[in-house]
Amino acid sequence: MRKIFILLFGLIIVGFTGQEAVVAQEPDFRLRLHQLDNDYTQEDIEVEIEFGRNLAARILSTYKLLDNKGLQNYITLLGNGIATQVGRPELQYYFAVIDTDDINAYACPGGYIFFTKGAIKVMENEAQLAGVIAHEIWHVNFRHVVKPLKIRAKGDSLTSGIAAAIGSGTATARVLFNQLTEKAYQLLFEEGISREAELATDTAAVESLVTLGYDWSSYRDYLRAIESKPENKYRKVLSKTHPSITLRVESINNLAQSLNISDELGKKNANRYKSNTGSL
Amino acid sequence: MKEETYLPILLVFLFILIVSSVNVVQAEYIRGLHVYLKESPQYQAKNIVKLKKGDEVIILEEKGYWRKIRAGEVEGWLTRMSLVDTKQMIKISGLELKKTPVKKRNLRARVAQAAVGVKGLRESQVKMIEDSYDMKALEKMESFKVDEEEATRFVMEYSE
Repeated sequence: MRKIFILLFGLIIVGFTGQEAVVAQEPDFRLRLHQLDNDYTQEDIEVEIEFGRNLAARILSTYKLLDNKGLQNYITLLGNGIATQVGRPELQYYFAVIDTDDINAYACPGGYIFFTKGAIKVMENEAQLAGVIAHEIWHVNFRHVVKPLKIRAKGDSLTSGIAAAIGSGTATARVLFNQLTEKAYQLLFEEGISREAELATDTAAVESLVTLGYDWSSYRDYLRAIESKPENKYRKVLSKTHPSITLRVESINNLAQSLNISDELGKKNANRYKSNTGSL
Repeated sequence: MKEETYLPILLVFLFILIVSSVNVVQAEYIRGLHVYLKESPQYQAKNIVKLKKGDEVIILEEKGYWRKIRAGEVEGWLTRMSLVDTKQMIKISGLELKKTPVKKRNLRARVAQAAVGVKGLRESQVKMIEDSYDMKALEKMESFKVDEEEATRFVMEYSE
């Protein structure tokens, strides 16, 4: 009887150990692409939106909104349609074209997204624009400004406890809020997002395009097209941390192979694109 | 150790083993408005059924960027992009936040006032801080809104 008990006990331990060995696997971050950070509260999201609004207002003091109703309507429809399918469900995204020949796009926390007139002029079809829209949406989804600047409702430092700055009676805290906005502005226009973040966003953008039925390779072709253009402001933020367009294109090609989508043919909607952007 | 002691210890370990071997299935939710369950993990595969935004589903299998899921009685494939792990579907809008406390709308003015108080800035410098935010243009940007269903159809139902 005692031997039977020892045998049973041994079997249970082996079974238990085997179970743990199966569970202990390194999660592939790409397989968790769709999972959002549940660590952020409703209050955090409200603070993110308020901060994003202010950052957007800061951008709009430098760059004017392009006065083109037809184009703006097109961007709004396209942007919101894409955001509904691949954006964060709790955010209302806003899209606008700013009047500059620079080639770039900017995503503020809370869903305020800008495209330059210069970028729209270089694009050849709707799939390229959809790729850039998806890329910016995913910067918001991944919180690529929120996280490095620690924009949360509560925190252990004055800069991270930004809700205190928004409603605070403390003069210092409110001035810090302004400084934080300036820091975010620098991040977007001068320093750039990190290499890993930029590549992760390209991955998400390509997958988004395939999910939406667009031709993913058009987005890659757009990146190639802007690489050598002097108006390309992405080149200005090229630094040790920021990936080159060559690297981004290579990464996209590798992704397409690994996801087995190299031969996936999607829509380009070139005619609809030209009819809505021709006035530029 | 007496044999009577073995049995409870064994039962405890057996219980732990059973509990740990039960897979805790995490529910996921449909992210968008036009999400179709497909027969197989291919974009060109036949659509089985259209799912509703916020529908709860269970993931059965993973294949690259495709997921086999069960939604109610139906099983099929969709891309992982179509899923989100939060049930929060009610939008929080910047415009709605703007409607609440007056103190938030006057934030720029108060920041400028605070700057004067803290650093003794001159009036012209205070104006510079206020001028570095174009709230009118922001409100114009926030007026660019469309119906979610219309926007989704614009993207998903047109192809050339």
